[in-house]
Amino acid sequence: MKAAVIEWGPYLILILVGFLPNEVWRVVGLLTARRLDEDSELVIWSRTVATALLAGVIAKLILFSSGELANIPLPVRIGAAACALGTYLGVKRSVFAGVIAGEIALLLGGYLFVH
Amino acid sequence: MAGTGGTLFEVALAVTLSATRLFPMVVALLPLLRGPGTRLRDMLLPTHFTSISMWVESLRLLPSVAREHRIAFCNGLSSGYMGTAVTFGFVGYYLAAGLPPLLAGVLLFLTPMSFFLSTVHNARMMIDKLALGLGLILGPLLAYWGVQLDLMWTGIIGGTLAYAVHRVREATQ
Repeated sequence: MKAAVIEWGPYLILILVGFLPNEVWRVVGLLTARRLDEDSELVIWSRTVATALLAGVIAKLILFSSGELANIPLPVRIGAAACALGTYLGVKRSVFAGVIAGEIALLLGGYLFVH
Repeated sequence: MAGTGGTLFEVALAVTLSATRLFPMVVALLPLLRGPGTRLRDMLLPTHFTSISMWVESLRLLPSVAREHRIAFCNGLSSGYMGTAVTFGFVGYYLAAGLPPLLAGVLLFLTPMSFFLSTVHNARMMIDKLALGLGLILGPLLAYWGVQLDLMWTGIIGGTLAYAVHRVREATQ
């Protein structure tokens, strides 16, 4: 019995802290939205809340970076994000071109200012 | 195990609170997927697949997909994302230790950059642009002030403000 608990422990933890906490909100969302029309006010408001929240996640990933990204100075990270946006707007609204430009800017900036 | 029980519960609670973002995402997405004959169980898989990349791309691409094909489209898109994520998760796990720090930083920058530009790309209407801009400002600000559940409040305050401006504009036009 104890061996079984130890063997299944990691999977149990995965389900308890990885799967269920996320899944519960998805299911609540499903039950809320299943009768709603896509033009209904609640759905439009949900889209703006989700968009603002996602924007917050993005800004925090750039400004309060973790791991190796945190070792690259903040002005370089902000500058690289600005380069990405500028390239996106300048090159026919291409997300791919913008991401590549941001990555190159971060690489060059990081190389110049850290080494 | 008794000692870690409390910590495990706290971790589960923390993840549950940070996962609230999935709620507005699902509510905004599902009405786009549902057709006249859609059953609840048909929407279970796209609901489970809802994540940031899938949500952003679905909101952009679904309007040009025939309604009866939208659920299959979402499931296919998400399976592609999952397959790529799992593959590169493995690659990253084995590469990470041997990678120079600067290159590791550049790789980590891919996530915010691709989220950032695909969200900008999606925000064509005024209401979405406003929500995006407010979120970019409020997110770091609330985090800097040490507000609890900063991202949830960013969504609620930024999203509600953008929605309110949209309503006022509609009413005055």
